Amino acid sequence: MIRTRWLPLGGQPSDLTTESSLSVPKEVSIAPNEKILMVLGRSYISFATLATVGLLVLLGILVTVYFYMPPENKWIMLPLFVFCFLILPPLLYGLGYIYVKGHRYIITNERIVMFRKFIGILLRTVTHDKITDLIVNQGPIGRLCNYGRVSPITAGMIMPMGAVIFSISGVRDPYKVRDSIAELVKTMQSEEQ
Amino acid sequence: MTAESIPPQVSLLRDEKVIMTLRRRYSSIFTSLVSFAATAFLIGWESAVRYIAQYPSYLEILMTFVYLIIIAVACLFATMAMVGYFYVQGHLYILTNRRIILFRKFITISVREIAYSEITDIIMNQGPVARILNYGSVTPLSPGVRGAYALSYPFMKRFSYVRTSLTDVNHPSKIMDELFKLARSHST
Repeated sequence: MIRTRWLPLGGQPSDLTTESSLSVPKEVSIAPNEKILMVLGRSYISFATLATVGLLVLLGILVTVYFYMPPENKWIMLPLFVFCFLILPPLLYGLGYIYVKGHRYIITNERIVMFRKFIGILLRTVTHDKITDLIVNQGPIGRLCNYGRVSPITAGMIMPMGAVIFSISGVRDPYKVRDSIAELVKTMQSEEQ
Repeated sequence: MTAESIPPQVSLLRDEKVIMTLRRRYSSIFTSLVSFAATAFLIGWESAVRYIAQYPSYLEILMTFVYLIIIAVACLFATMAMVGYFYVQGHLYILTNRRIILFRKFITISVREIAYSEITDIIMNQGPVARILNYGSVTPLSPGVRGAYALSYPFMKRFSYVRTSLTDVNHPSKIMDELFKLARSHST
C-alpha cells in the first residue's frame, strides 16, 4: 500500500501506487515550467501509532493514580476511564484520519511543497538548491511498517524546527523519498556550479 | 495589490521597480481580539463564579460589579478596535523586482528588507477564520530570520519587535506563489 505517485522527469508516470493517485491541493500552484515528480500523503499508521502510544501513557497514569488515590475518591476513576477509553479513542482516531488526509507533500523538479490542511492551513516551500541537510527519522513501528519522516533542513529552517514541525512526516519508503530529493538537490546544485 | 505611495523611510534603488504593495487586513485584528477575549473568558469565568458563590449575601453588589466589568471590557474592545485600525494601516509590504520590504509604522517604525536570493523557505499559514475570510501570513525565511518566527502557534512563536512576515494579507497562497516565482528568478 504505497501512497506515492512517481512521475519521472519528462516521462510517462511509472506508477508505484496501488491506490488512487493523490491530487495537488488547490492552494498549491505550480509554476509554468515546473514539473511534479512526486505527490506523497501521510500514512494513517504514523498517526495511529502516536495516538496509541498517547493512550497507553494515559492508561499508565490513570492506573498509577488509581492505586495511590484514597478509597473514598476512587469513584471518580470510573467516569475518567469511560471518557479516556470509550469516548476519546473514537474521537482521536476519527479526527486523526481527517488530520492525516489533510497532508500533502509535493516534490517538483524545483522545490518541495509541504502542505497541511486541518482546521487551518500550513504550507512550506523550499527549493532544492537551498537544502543543506536531509534527515530521515524512523521509530520502531516506523521501521516495521516502513514509514518515516524526511526533513529537509535549510539555513533558515534549522534543527529541531525543520526536522519536527515543517517536514515530510509519516511517508512510506522514506529512504526512497530521501534518495529522490538528494538526487534533485545534487542535480540542481551542480547546475548552479 | 495595487501600487501605493512609498513611505519616506523606504528608499528604492535607481533601477528598482515596485511589483506590488500589500496591506494588512483589518478583519484580522477582530479575529485576534475575539480569540484573546475568548481565552480570557475561558480562563476567568470559573474563578469568577466560584468567588461570587462564596458571598451569596452580597450577590446584588457582585452582579453590579460583574456588569461594570462587562462594560469595561466592551469599552476596551471598542478602543482596541479603533487603535487596531491605525495599527493595521501602519503596515505596508512592498515587493519590488529586487527585494521584499516589510514596513510597520505604529508609534515606532520597523523595516525589514530581504533580497529574493537570500530566501531559503517560504511559509504560509492560515487559521480557521482566516481560511473563511481568505487571508493569512506569509513568512519568507532566510539564514537571519529562521523558522521559529514562522510558527503558527502563538505560544511557541518567537517574538520579534521587527516585522518578520507579511502578516494577514489577502490571498496568501497567491502571494506565496508570486514570492516563489520571484525567488526562483533571482536564484543564484
